[in-house]
Amino acid sequence: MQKWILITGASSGIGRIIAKYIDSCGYHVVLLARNKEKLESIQAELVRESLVISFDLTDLSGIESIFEVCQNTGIKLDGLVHCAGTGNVVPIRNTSAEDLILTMKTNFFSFFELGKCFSLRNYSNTGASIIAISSISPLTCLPGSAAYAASKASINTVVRVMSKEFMKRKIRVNAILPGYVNTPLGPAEDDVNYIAQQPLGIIKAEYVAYFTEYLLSDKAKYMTGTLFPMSGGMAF
Amino acid sequence: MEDKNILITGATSGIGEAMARHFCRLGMRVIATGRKQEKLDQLSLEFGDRLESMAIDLSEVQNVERLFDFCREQNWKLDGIVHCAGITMNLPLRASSISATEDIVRINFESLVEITRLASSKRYTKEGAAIVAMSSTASITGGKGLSLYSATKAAVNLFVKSAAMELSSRKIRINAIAPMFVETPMYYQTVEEIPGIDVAIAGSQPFGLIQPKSVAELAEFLLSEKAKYITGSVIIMNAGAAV
Repeated sequence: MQKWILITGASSGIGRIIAKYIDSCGYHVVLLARNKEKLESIQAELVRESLVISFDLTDLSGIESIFEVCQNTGIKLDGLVHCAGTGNVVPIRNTSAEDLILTMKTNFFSFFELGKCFSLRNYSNTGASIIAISSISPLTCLPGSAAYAASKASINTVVRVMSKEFMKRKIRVNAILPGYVNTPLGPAEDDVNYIAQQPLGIIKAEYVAYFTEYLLSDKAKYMTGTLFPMSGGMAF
Repeated sequence: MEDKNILITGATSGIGEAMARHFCRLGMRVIATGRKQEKLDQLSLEFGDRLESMAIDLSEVQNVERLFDFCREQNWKLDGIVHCAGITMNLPLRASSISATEDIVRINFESLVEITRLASSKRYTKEGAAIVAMSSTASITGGKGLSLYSATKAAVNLFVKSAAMELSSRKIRINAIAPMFVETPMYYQTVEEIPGIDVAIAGSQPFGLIQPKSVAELAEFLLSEKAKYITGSVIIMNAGAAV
């Protein structure tokens, strides 16, 4: 299989786990994040040929350069998995306009630009698959989640519009909406404060990777424009 | 796949039959049920000792318990249940009747409630078992002539959401699959009843008529350990339709 998948936020958390898992499933990955050393150490752990691109996604007007690098390397993409994101629990009163803008830029505006570029025929193959790692947060809207939930809600909406606009090239666009996941951005596996809210447990990132792989595969060929909650038993 | 017991209802046609075939091929023990004995016999012939069967009419909701007791008597504690038994009904509201409403509610909804009630007990299911119910995109969009059908599927959706909360204590998960039109006898029945609808459907599903195999693959994922954090969800398979 010669399928290349661009993974943002690949240096840690869900992005890192997805990169390693789909590499083990036979995909080639383009690892994108800001921290080059972290990306290269993950690259060293991979089985198949991969590409490292160090880039700050808040540089929105520069996002197309990511795709130019892929193209110049002879890579035409079959998938995009957007894992890059920031998330803090901050009450609205403590959220400055700058904080809000940064959250929107990192999580959502970047996804918008990435999707836009990805959809171009020079950069992606027909039948490619875009997956946004969103969050269940816009469905629960817990206190402290305003900026984060709003950025993920925007992702959710644009996933649905993209799925219609990108239909012509048969590009499927979907989002996974996990509850709490055990990553640097989330709670520890045994954190009792969260178990009550999420009775099936804090989600191990591998399980987000399993469903991501499903959505990348031909098995998901009839699924597009869809939001897939992975609640861990949380009420939503 | 040793010793995994999967109960499939509605296994004698359409999606249920595709499920039975799919899980047999994966090497699991499939307990197939439906009303047509001849079809169950045909499946038994094909799959030998991978497939057990019991002919049963689930529109008689009390039969659900007979089905579960049959499994228990054979020491087949269930790892998974895929509930595909159900009917479609294209009926303008004016042409519907009290008994039509009662029938479709009983078969499409009450049978699921009974199945889930029994499945919640350790008498019948293993810890960590999973249930998949069949819903439909009609549960979200509704449609002319679909008032009864779409309402029963919406009931399935909400039931699944609440049941998931109760079942989590035994780590049992329940989800629903909501596809657009799947190529099955039920689809052909609809096409026969409503002239021209096949053209409308083809127009609304850019990725084409869904093949039952794809629904079976999704059920396989949802019943597997890989889906262990997915519960209470309605998984839409829209084939490109704007749902």
